[in-house]
Amino acid sequence: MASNFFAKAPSAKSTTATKQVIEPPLQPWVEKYRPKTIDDVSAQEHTITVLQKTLTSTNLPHMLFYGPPGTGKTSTILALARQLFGPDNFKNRVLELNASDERGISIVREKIKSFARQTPRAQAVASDGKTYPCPPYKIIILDEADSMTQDAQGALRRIMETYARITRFCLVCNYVTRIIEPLASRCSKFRFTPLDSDSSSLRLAHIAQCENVPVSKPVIDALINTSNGDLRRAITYLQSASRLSSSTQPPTPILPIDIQEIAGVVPDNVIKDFARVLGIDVDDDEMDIDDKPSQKQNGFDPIRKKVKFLMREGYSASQIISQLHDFVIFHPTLNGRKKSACALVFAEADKALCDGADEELWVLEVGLRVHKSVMS
Amino acid sequence: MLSATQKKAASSKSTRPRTVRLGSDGPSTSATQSSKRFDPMTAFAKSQTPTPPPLASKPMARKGKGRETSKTPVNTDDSLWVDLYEPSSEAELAVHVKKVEDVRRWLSEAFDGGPSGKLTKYRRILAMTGSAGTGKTSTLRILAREMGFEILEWRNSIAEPISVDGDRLDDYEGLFTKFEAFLTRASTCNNVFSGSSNNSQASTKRVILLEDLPNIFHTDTQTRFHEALTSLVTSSLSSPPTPLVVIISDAGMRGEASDERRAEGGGWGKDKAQVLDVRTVLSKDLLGGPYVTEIGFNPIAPTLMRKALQAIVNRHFTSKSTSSMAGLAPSKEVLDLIVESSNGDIRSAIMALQFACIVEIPGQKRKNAKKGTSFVMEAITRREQSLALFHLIGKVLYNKRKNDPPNASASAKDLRKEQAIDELLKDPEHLPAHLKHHERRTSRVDVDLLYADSPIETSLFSLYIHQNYTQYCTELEHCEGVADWLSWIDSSGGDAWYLANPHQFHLLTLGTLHSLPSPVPRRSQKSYKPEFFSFLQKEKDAWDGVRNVRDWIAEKEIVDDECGWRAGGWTKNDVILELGGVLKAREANPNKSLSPIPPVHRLFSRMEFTRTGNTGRLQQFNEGDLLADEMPEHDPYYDAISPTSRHGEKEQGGWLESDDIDDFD
Amino acid sequence: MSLWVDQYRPRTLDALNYHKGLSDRLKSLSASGDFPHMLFYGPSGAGKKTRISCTLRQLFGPGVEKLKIDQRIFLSPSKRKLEINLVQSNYHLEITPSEAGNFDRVVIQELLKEIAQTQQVDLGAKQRFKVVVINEADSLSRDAQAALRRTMEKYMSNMRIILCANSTSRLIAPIKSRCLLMRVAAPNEEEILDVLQSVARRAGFDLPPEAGTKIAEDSGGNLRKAVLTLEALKMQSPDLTGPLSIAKPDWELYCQKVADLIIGEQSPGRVMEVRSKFYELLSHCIPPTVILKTVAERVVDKVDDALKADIMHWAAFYEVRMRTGNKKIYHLEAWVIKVMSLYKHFFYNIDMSEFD
Repeated sequence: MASNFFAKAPSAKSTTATKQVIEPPLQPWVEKYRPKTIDDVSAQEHTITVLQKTLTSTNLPHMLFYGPPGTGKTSTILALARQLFGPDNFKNRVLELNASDERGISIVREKIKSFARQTPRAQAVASDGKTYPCPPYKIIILDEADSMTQDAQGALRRIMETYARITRFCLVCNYVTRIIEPLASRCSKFRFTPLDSDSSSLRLAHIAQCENVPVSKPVIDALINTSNGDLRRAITYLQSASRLSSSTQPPTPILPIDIQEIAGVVPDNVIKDFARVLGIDVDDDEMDIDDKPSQKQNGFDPIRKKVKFLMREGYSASQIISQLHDFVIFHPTLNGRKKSACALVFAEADKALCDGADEELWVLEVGLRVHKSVMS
Repeated sequence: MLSATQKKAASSKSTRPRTVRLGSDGPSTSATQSSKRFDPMTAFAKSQTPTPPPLASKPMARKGKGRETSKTPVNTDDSLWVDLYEPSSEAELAVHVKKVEDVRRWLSEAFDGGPSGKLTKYRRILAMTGSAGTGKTSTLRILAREMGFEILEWRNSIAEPISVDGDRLDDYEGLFTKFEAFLTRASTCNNVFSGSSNNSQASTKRVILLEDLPNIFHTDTQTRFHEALTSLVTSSLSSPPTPLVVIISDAGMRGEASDERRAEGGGWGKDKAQVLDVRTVLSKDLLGGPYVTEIGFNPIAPTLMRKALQAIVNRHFTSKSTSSMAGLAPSKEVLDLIVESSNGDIRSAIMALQFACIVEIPGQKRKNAKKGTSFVMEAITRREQSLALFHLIGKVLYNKRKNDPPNASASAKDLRKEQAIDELLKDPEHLPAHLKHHERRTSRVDVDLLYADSPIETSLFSLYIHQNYTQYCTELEHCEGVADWLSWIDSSGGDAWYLANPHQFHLLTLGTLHSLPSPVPRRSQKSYKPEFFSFLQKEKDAWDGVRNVRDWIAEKEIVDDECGWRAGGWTKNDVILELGGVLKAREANPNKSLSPIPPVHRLFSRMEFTRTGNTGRLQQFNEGDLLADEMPEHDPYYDAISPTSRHGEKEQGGWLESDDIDDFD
Repeated sequence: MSLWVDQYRPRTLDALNYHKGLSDRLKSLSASGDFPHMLFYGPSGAGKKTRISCTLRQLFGPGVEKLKIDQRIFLSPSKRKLEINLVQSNYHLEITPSEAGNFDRVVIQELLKEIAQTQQVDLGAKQRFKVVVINEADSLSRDAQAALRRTMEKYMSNMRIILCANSTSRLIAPIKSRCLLMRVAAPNEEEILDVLQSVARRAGFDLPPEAGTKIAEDSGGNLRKAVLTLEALKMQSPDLTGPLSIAKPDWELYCQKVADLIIGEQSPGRVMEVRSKFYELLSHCIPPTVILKTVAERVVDKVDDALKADIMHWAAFYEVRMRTGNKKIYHLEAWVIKVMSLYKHFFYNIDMSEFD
């Protein structure tokens, strides 16, 4: 009985609550290095300037933050709330809800109701000795608001009206188009742009320095390239890489290839090899143009062989296709007609993979059709 | 399906221009052929029209009825024939003798314990199953009269607010408590009931009848219901115990994705509980246990049905011999049609008969009789399953088009009719050159009409098309079209879209018609039931095999400390795809030191490739079948009499060689 | 005595025959005390699960191999009962969410919450956390993945998750970014041969190199398949010499014969015949995608080059439809007819090869 996996140790129960707090070394760096004030937020200058003003006036509108993942939306609102309420009041003034966490508007409504019922009690002077504006309302953050159903959003609109006096809502989402118009029109909208590589690399370098992880410039570049302007992903990759490197004795330096492996990116030369089999000119020095005509005759078997190889290596089909897409679309010599023919295939394949289609069949399909378009 | 509003809409239709009809044009069609048809997609939209519609054919009927009421005694005319001519003895019962005998034997065993006198203990619950109108209740009532027992029947009281949603669950619980109380009282303290009934001294034998069941779709209620029955059976409070009879009418559902649910397979059997059948009403333990006997009732055989209807007609018209209406006994054709369209449901057949006798059939001229009759009968017997599946499939697959060369076996009358239809069909405009290969002659099939009359939902319909289409194709290209449409229909839906998409039926039908050759060559094609379900069943069994083998491996891994344990063990696909060779080799070389493999593995690992056809397994279906997949396996009793009935059906149409199907227009 | 695949499976990271670099990484990660959530991905039979087992052993010691099977009951939102078998030790727990069908979210959420809220009771345990292994993670529904994503953040302190999947394509990005990705590529033929040799040694016989090579070639990078084949062969002909015919599973031979049927004749009648064969395959639980791929492979091998690309195109096309549709047979059949039609027209010299 004692060894039962699910046995709850009664004595430990009281400590469980406190133990939930993650100890610092294990804490994800994404959390650890969240900006403390809105000034710390990387890039997004426009948004920050506007929000600065609201800080001084303490009159906050409902807000809608939208933009691609990892651009600091959640960080910004958290930092803003922290600056408004201070560490002591933060807990009872801010409610963070994920649409994907607790589905169903009834649950959201219940939570909001009970949260709104508690009267805001403000302490003038916080424990850290600073004074905070601490305006007389609460903030409810709805993360991933675009994954709420239309009905739920409609209901949310009512809730916003009902509790408008004591609450401010902040909706955070990736796609503003998925928020229904009546809801969006009640909020001031802030667009978050993808981070430029300079501010990303600055931030990454800062974190690396704080964590005592030696990173080279190529590694930072690899991080930025693989994460496509998503700072959260870049930080996560950095943490994983440092985990791997520091776990060996002595610590091995982090290499760009490690970053690619961690990010699940297919190495460039693998993609280039594949492209070459498909008959695309690869501006590599060692490529031999001689065998191209023969490929024109019987392209099927080499392509199939290559696809089987890729599958055996375990690369993910969506990753292969998206990288091949980049390779083809940015290719210097292919003409527009061929590129658009290829783009069509990539789009179809992406949809098919989203529907759960077989990976091998579709990588093969992409290969064959890209081959056909390029050769035509 | 046809709600009251729809019906109203339908009748209001006759004054308005027709709704969209595919493949035909001209208002005259509607007047002659389908004045009372309506389009299910627009029916609601039109129902707002306030003008009370002058009925095309009904006024006469009303007049007729009016006259009748004035001249006949009120009491007989008011009541339905179903009640009026309820069978009073076994002789009048249309149920097969053997069935009745089964029930009688069970009851006598329940009361007296059978020959050994000990069977009382095990004759506790009798489940009478079968589709609606197969005489289950009547059988019991007749036997009650004959054997002299009393029926204590439970009825859900309507005054009680019955609601299943969480808020008002308490009310419902109240009802269920009452039900439980009823059960205990009925089974134990006989006196409570007998005290209130007049002839308590005469009859001491009682049977509890459950026909009106509590809402067993509600999971909790179902559980409690099962518990109540189980405790009733296992308790030995009173002797002799009161036997319980449960009557379960299998609901023939249309518009439900039932086969898709089944197709999901494996899973959790999550949708089993949505269908009212014996397995939901009685718990698994009870069904498998010794206390429950199940007697299935088949649809009434056509011969028996005809006999019973004839008897009613005779009684009706002899009893009212004084009336001036006496001469209007329905013709044989009418009876035949009623029998045919009733699909073995005697209750609906009697209803139809009653109406048939009330409505004066216009023009009793022999020449036109059949057409006129069918026209009226269509109005009377309009039921959800009125168009036999057989005809539906035939209509689509024969792909008749305007100016088809006439069928060799067609009679002059049929030819005239075809011509009449053709005259109403307009030729389509010519297509531009690049679409020339899509040009077809106008179809004689009215898809809207088919959709309105289809006895099955699209998914099942597609299975029937799939099973049979190849016979009607001459070239591979024809197959290609149909197969692609089937594939498209199946993949375009998804569960969510299914309900919202009324186009699947149309798309499939039109796509099939477009792809099939025209005209379809006649080579005495036979219609088969889809093999889909039997293979689905086989697949389910095979999955059990997979599970068994996997458990066998897992057990060895865990028990046998020697072998390396592997996270996750074997996935099902690993077992299916990769284990075959080893399993075969092990069986071929039995070794004492190896533990035996569960033999069920053959269900998925063994495959014999043979080129012999498997037509033996195919089941043909014909006009008599309702929903072919819902048909129970043939009961020996039913089969014993069926040769005659089968013969009868053949005479009426046989395979789709003659053009009888057009009679349903 | 169990199957060789299980019996001679490496049990420690050191005993693994190939992907040494990966094993080293896993070893150092286990020792570092900063063990992340992990996602193992790679083709079937590449050794993902073996590596997971070895990693667990490295983390917790041999105690992790003491397993028991529990049956647990969950309530679905509609109050239906789901029974699920769980394999667990004192230190870890395994879930195969596909067994929960549509309710995988419920199961995942309940189980993880429960584990996260319990403490490691064994004081002698090497790690403070427990590990949850989620098999076939790519079959998790979106809902379940979203639920998992939250849980992974919330309960990091006393739980780690190891996901095992064939591909990462079907996993949502937030999950991937929260895990350390471990790609397990299929072993190449020499590596397979090595493993086969060592299995043979441990089973007490010598594997003739030709036989080994043949098995390795035939396995297509699937090590499990290779070892199973070896065992079957050994049972059939104990000396493993002479011309060996690798006994393919019945379904594979069956698929090949179906392919021959397709090429042999193209007519509505033949369509019916092929259909009944497909029904037979489906009723033996062979996944429809596997059927389609196996038959297509065979057909492609036998037809003219000009047709190959089209045949594969339609295979891909109908495979997607099969995923979204319910009745697999329709799509298989539609593909067969397409292939027949292509084949027939090719011989009539009509150019139908354009597709779009």
